Parts: sequence; structure tokens; C-alpha cells
Amino acid sequence: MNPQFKKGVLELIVLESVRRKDMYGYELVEEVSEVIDVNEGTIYPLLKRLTNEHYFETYLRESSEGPPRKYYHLTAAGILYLEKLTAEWKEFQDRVNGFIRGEEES
Amino acid sequence: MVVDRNKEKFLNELREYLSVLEEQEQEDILAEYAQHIDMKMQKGLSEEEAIRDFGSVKELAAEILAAYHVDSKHAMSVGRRGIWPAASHRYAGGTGLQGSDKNKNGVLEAGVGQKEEEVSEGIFRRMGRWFYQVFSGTAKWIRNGFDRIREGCSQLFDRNRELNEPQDTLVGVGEEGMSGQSVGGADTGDGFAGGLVCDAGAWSAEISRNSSGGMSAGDHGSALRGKGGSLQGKRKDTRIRTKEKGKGIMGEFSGTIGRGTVMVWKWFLDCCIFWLRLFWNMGWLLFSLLCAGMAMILLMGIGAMVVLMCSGYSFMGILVLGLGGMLCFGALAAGAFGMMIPNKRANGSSRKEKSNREVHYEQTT
Repeated sequence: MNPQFKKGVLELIVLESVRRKDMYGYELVEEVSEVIDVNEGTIYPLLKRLTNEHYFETYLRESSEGPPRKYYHLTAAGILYLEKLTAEWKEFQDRVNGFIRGEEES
Repeated sequence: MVVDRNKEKFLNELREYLSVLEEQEQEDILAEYAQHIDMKMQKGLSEEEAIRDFGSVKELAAEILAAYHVDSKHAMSVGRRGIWPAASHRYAGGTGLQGSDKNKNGVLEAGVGQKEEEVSEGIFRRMGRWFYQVFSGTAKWIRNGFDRIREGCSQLFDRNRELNEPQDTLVGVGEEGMSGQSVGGADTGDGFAGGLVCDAGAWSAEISRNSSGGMSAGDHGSALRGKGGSLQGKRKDTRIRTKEKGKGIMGEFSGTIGRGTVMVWKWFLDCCIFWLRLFWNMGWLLFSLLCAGMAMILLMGIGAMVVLMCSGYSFMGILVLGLGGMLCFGALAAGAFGMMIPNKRANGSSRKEKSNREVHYEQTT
């Protein structure tokens, strides 16, 4: 997949994944990797940025498999931002699809 | 063992690139990556493979820095140079969440960067101190010069005044010093005014002998002879000359002219010194205010930089420069303020009182 496309939708996928369920870093990387093939390293900076912008909040939870894990939780601001992103994505998708369909029809 | 070294190397390299970020943030990020590597290893991957999946460390660091809205190009070049203390902190194992590893290996070691910062800070401090010492030394030197000139002028005028000093001044000193031991002089008819009152301290036996021809009261002379001798010969001669100078109308006239000339001359010099000092002080005051203003502006700038740095911007270099500048301007302001010459008029009067006190002490002893 085109890396520019991936970069554009990565934020949306991460936000949507965390909206469904609170996740820790590695779990989230695996989840996102199922949707798009992405460099693992790029997820953490994105998580950091979204946390810094208060779309995520974090907490530590004990794990039986090792040290405590840092979980990410979507905040109210994050939900609003996700809704905005989703709407934008849909609009963008419709326009691009419409354009492509129009080209095909003509 | 080899695996550990690779992980450590990766984390150290990443830390170097992220050195512009706060320590806590660095720990947080590195802990996440270390945990990620550990979890991949638990899944059966080797550490090299786990690390390889992250791609280029530089690109990864650039993305992390971009998440903090930091200019990654500048920040990473700075971080690799190791100017800031955090740049040379070595990651010594542990994920930040693994307390046991931290304790075992030691968490962080202060590196070369910290020493470099101390050295650079020391240079600024030393420069500031040097500027302050140079300026304050110069100010002191010039002030001392002015004091000496002023004292020299004052001594010159005091001497002239002493020569033209009326006799009652001496009497006043004597009365203050030795009340109860005054002796009334007789009219001699050779220039000594009647009613001369002197004290035993002011007039020694020698004076009595020298002027015995003019003094009719021989018993007074003998009375004084026993107690005198405390004042030095110079002063005695001066006073004798004063009395001799006061002889006749011409003497009084020339004395008045001399006094007037000296007064005018002194007034002129005083005016010159006053205006010179005024301009000098105004100049230094303006310079001092300017420097102080600059220091205040730099202080405000430093405050702003600190706030921006707390937000993740890399303004450490500018901050250090600003700090140095502020210290320099502060030192300049202090030095310029020290260059100002205070008004010594009050001190002059106190000096006179002091000399009177000294005379009194000598008389009493």
C-alpha cells in the first residue's frame, strides 16, 4: 500500500482501535498491523502525540506475563476527534470514489 | 549476552537522538520500546529481529520528535553532539517498568555532556565575574582618584583658610576642649588684640616664651608653661603667623582680598567638580539603566525559553546564551552603578568635626 495513504489513515485506525477497547502498545501495534502493514516503530510516536494532545490517557495495569503494561484509553476529546476524523474520511472517500467512478463511467 | 548488547545499543542510540526531550519523557518512550522488544522476544523472535522491525533509529527518532512538535533535524544533530546532559546518558538496561533490572545495572550514568554544560556555564560565570571585577575595579580606581583630587583641593583650601582664620575660631576650639582653664590675655599694644583667650593645650610653654614680650601677664605664661606642649610646632607657627598677619589695616585688607580670591576660586572649582560629577554620574546612571533593562529583557526571554522548553522545544543553546548575556549585562549594570561618585559634602563636614575631636583629644592628653 502507498505509504502516504497509510500515514493518512493510521491515526484514524489507532483511535478507532482504542475506542473499541483499551489497549497497551504492543497489542495496539498488532491490531493495527492486521489492518495495514505499518512499521511498528511509527505507532508509538503517534500514541505519544495523541496522548500529549489529550486524546488518550494512560494507566498502568499489572500483567501476569511480565511487568505492568501501559494501557491507552480514549478520552472525551479523543472521541470527538475520532468522530471528526471519521466524518472527514467518509467525505474524502466519497469524493475520491465518486471521482474514480465518474472517470470509469465517462 | 550479545542480544542484550544489541537492545542496549538500540536504546542508547535512540536516547541520544531524543536527548532534547525531558528525562521523564525519554524514559517513558524507551520503556515502551524496551517492553515491545521484550514482548516480541517472548513470542519467539530474536532481539535482532525485533529491533530490525523498527527500521532506522534515526527515522524513528524523527517521528517521535515530530510527535512533540520538535524540529527533528536540529534536535537530532544537537543530540548526537552531546551538548546536553541527557545526550550522553547511557541506557544501562531495564525498561523503566522493570525495577529489578534498573537496580541491578544502575539506571543512568552522567556522561560527558553534563561536564561540557558545567564547563560552558563556568565560562559564562567566569566571564561575568571578570567583567564585574574589571568594571568595579575601574570604578573604584576612578572614584579614589576623584577623592584624592578633592581631598587635595580641600587640604589646600583648609590651609589657606587656616592662614586667614580669625582668632575666635581658635578660641572656640580651646573653650570646647579645655573649659575652665582659659586665661584672659592682657592688652599688649603691639598687635595682639585684647581679650585673647587661649587654653593650655593650644598654647605651649614655648609659645609663651616666644611671645612673652607681647604678653603682659607673666603669671599666666607660667601657668600655661606647665600644661602645654601637646600641639605640634607647625600649628603653633601658623597661629603665630595668623596673629602677625592680622596686624594693621593693610594686613586686614590683603587678608580680605586673599580670602575673597580663595573663596571665588574654591567656588569655581566646586562648581566644576559638581558639574563634572553630575555629568559623570548621569552618564553612568543611564548606562547602568540601559544594561539593567537589557538584563531584565533577557531574564524575561529566559523565562519564555524555559516555558517553551517545558513544552518540548529545543532552546537550550539560546537559553544558555541568554543566561550568559543576562549575567554580563547585570555585571555591567552593577559596575556602571559602582562608577557613580557619591556626594562627599556630608563627609567633609564630618571630617572637620573629626579633626576637631582629634585636636581636643590631643589637648586633653
